[in-house]
Amino acid sequence: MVVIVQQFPIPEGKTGQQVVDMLIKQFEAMAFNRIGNFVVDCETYYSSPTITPPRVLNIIHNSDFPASCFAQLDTGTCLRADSYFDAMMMVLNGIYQAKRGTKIESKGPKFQKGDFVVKIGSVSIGPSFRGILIEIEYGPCSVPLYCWDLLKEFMKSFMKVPKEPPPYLKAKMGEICTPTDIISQYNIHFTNLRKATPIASCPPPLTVKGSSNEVQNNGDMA
Amino acid sequence: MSENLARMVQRIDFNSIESEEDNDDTSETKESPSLAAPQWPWESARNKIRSALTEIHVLEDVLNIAKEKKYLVLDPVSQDSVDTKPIVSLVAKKKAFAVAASIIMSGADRIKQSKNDASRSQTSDFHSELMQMRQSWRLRRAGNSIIGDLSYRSAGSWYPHPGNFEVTKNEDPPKTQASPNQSSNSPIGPGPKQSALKVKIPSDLEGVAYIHVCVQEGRNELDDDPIKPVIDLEALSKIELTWQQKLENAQNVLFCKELFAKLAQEAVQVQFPIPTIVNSNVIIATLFPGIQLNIGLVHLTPPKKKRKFGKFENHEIAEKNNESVKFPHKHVLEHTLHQLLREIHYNALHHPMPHPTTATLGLSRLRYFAGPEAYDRHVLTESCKNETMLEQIIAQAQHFVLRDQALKTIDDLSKEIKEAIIIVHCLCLNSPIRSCIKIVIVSSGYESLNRTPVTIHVSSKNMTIICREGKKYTLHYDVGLLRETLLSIISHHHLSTIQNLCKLMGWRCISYTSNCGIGSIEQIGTASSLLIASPNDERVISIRHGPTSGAVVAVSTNPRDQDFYPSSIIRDRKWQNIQSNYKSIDLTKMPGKNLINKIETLMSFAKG
Repeated sequence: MVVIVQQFPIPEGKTGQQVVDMLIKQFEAMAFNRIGNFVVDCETYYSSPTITPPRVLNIIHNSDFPASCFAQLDTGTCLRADSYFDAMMMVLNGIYQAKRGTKIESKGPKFQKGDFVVKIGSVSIGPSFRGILIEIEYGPCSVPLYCWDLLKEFMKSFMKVPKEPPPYLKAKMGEICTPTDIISQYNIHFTNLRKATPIASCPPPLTVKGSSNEVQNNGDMA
Repeated sequence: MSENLARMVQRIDFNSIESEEDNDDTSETKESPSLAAPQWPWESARNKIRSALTEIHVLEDVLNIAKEKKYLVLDPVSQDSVDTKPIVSLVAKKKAFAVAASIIMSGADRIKQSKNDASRSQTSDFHSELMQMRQSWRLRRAGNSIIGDLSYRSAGSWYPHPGNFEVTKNEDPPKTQASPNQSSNSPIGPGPKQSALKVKIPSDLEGVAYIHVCVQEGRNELDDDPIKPVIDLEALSKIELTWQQKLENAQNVLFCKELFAKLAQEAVQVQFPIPTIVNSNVIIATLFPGIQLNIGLVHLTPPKKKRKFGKFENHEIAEKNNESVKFPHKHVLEHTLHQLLREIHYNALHHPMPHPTTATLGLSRLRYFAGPEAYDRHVLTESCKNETMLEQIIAQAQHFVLRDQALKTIDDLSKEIKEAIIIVHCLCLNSPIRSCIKIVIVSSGYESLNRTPVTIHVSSKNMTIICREGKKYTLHYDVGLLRETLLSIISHHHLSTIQNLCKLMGWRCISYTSNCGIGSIEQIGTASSLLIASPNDERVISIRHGPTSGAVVAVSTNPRDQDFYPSSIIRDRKWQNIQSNYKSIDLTKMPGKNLINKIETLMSFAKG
């Protein structure tokens, strides 16, 4: 599978929730099937002052890989580990410490039609809304180079597409896309969104709450 | 003079006298003159005399004690007599040996005696037999009784039945006549001995049990008992078993019960497309429409009373046994069931190989790698799927039925079809749910001309036919469809053989259609047609062959007639070259053993 994660721009004068609802309606109109929800969350750990140079460690979970836990350093090194890795971070408390209130997550519904899977995620840090990330997955191909044009054409149907693939994917166009690449793309977007100020505040409506509950339930079941 | 005396005194050597005294005294005497000498010349002499006096006193005391015999008696020490007589010692040794020999002999006599007694009473030793039992069964002592364990718990079973038996000493009087049915493979030995052990088995494990598996074709009423036990009860009740056989039987009963309980549980829990029925001791699962699989637990107890389904009497069973068995017991499937349960037992004790100390035991191998390899949700759900025993046995039974039916269809077809020879070969390499049948279709007498190979893959629910040119037909469990497909393949085979024959004879193939639209409609498939022309283009033979309708052959000539008579309409000879109408040929009246042979004859005629 080839996965591309793109940020969906929020036009002026609209809240994030409005955009998400609009997207959901659009995909439903395109006869996509809703196949549940997803959540990707990222927690940031900072190294203790004794370690030089200081490092930032992101622990990322993806509900599509329920047995795994991804740990990515700011250098780009990514570790795929068992989900018990979280418990190990507790042990490493003296070396890497989590900063409170930095947990960022992207969650929302998943849609599928044929070989394409689209995930619409609203990104938020705690209660503050940061943006929308769209993940597009194309199943039959595993090298981005061979299906970039197809993906571009597909994305054109609902969003503005850059001519060139995003820098991360561009460097890896000829390689097989792995789960690590998905996580890395999310990590890049999360880092950018964290720096950005909350652009459009989104009062938490009831629908979002409902969907988040569902996501949590899903995660529990997994 | 005094000086002389002193010199004389000095010369007296008291040491020689004191040499017999102990060491302490000598050291004193040695020291004393050196100390006293400078003071007084008589000092040493006086000291020595005094000590001599003391010794004399002691000697006197000793003599007094010895003499008076009041305090001490002195005996003379006897010296070894040098002159020992050898004969005396020999006699003494002989006597001692004789005594020892008599002790050993009496002991041996006693052992012999006891052994003779044992053999006379035909009862073997309780303890030695118990030891033999311990070698093959788990025994433990509870209070005054010995309890054994029949269950498969130590082999990985979770069946809750305790499976205990009790061992007691056989107190019955020995029988005068040995039972003739006693088998020779009893662990006690070949001799017809009466065992010293008596085993007491729980009443529900007595008797003989087995799992009866049969495939029932044709739907009968549900209450019709599909299972007939094939055990002769009367013979069973006559057999007298050793404890080893008894225990083995009981263990087998326990195993069958566990197997059936597990199957029944699965039959209730698992949702099948066509639900299974559990009816007392029978599980009924539908394999295909009209064909069902019956798995039953048959448990017979040898005493007068019989307990199969609890409603039949002995004579009824005997009557039923006399009837021809409609649905024979499938031993292979029964064996498969045993294997499946044993595999479950094995897996309960043996976990897949990587056993990291930090990981949870009992996870599948794939699950261990799921985290680091980042398997997605789909892969994980696939890995969690576990085929139950009942699903596996149903799949195997379905395959069994389907394979049988396919082979029967092919057999019938090869008997029916006279035109072509069907050679069937079943590959020996197969799995319980997959097998492969290879078919070669040839025409008799033209074997080297054309061979049409067909491969049929039979799985549990469908069949796939693969032809030479790569065509693949997937058929479901309907064997009628298999027959129709084979018929149309045979029809194609005929025409391709004729084509090859054309090449051989120098004829020309003008056209070939595998599905021609003219002529009567075939019941199945489509007819194909072939048009061939003779080398000098004077004759054209048209052949139409359909899977059901058979061959229709027609011939046309060109030119129409050998002689030309110009008429008012047809003035030129060239018009004669227009092909004439086709004349149909009655193949039944032609000589030749099959279609190809007849066509060859026709070709040779037409050529001339």
